[in-house]
Amino acid sequence: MHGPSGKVSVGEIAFIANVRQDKLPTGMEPLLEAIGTYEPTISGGVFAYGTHAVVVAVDPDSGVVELLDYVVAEDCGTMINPMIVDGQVQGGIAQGIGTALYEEIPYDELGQPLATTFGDYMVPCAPEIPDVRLAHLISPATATEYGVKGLGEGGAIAPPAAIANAVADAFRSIRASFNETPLTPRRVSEAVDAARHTKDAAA
Amino acid sequence: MKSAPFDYVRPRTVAEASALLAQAGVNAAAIAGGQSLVPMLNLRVAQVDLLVDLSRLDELKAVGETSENLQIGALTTHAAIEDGMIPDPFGGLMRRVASTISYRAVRNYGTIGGSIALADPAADWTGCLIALGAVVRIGGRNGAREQAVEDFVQGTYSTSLGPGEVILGFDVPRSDAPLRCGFAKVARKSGAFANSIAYVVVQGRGGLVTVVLAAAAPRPIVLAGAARHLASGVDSEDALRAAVADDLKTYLPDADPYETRLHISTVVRAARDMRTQT
Repeated sequence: MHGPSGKVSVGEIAFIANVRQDKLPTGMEPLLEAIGTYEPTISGGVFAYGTHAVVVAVDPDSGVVELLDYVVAEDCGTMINPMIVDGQVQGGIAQGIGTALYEEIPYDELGQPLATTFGDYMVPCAPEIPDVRLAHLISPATATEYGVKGLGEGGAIAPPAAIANAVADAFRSIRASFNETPLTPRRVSEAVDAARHTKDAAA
Repeated sequence: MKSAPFDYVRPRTVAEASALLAQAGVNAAAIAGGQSLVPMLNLRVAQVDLLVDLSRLDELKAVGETSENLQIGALTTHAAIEDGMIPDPFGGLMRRVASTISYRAVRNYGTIGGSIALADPAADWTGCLIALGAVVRIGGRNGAREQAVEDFVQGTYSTSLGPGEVILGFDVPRSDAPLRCGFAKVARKSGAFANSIAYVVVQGRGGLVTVVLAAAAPRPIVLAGAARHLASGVDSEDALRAAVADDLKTYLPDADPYETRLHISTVVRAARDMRTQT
């Protein structure tokens, strides 16, 4: 560090601040610490926008849902590190696919939890996650430094709605409705079966 | 969780292994790949005094072909079958079945003998070997014996294996006529226990047909009506569905409507799969 009356090394500053506090100028707090805070002028939150589109294949009898293609377009403003943005969206989608198709803590009629290990609590693993195609729109936020927006939740929130809507679209002709996640094979098959019976009864 | 304490021994001969497994007053278990047994020990679903490691028994590693049989040593791993390290004169059925077992890390260690010995209702090999008409070769201090896999597997985690007996391997009969084999499996996700597995094996044109449904009951079920329908040559999926539904009424009277739809769909998909194998 160079000043008007001489120079001192960073190492020497650290040594004095931590070990030889007697050498500090009078009134100066010991230790090296700096805290800064930042809040955008809009305090209500600055968040990303995103759209998820998914193509599924559903077996109406077994109720198995397969994800054939998954596309996300999102806008988190200025991307500071695009690689981390991609990773965060991908990871969020994996969580969202878990919500949509796998993860559940059911209880039996006596209140015993039925998913107590990862053998019973289904978490999607790499084979369950499709290669997600990502597109980025960049409209910088006006109220933040560098035009950045929050990003974390976008990937995780949309998949249950996108996947359930895709499954519903597959059975549009018989008006089957899918209103409960996760969309387990049993739930999907039962919803299709119920809709078929309703259709048969109406016919 | 971790396993309760146990002793461990790695014998060099089948006779030695047999004697260790048959000791009075010692709850001993054979271990090969350990991909089911070790998690069961860790969850304390199983508890043993002594693990007898079969992995160094060369007699259990032999793989060979005769004009009549494919001989598969009990210690053959799922991965070795998946990778085509052993012959598969069954239209690639065994390779394809192997490739869907759990995860690759499990397939690297897990063995076909261990899978049959455990007799988990959701296992992949029990139904497959029954569909192929395989025979299990068993050794031990009381001499050797053979038994059809269909009779060997008796129920959930239950086989005819007696004290001190060890599975040596399997003889899978070869067919003179070309085999057409189909297979379909439903599991909640990769690596999860299967909910339904169907195998269809057809010997030549108009030949013997075997249909086996696994993961549906304590032991795999041979579906006679579905086999009769497929042997009849009538190419109707609706008729096949009806035949499977009739079979299920006989063999699985307690199946709920979803299970019935699920099992019918795996059999129909296995039959479709068989038709694509020319």
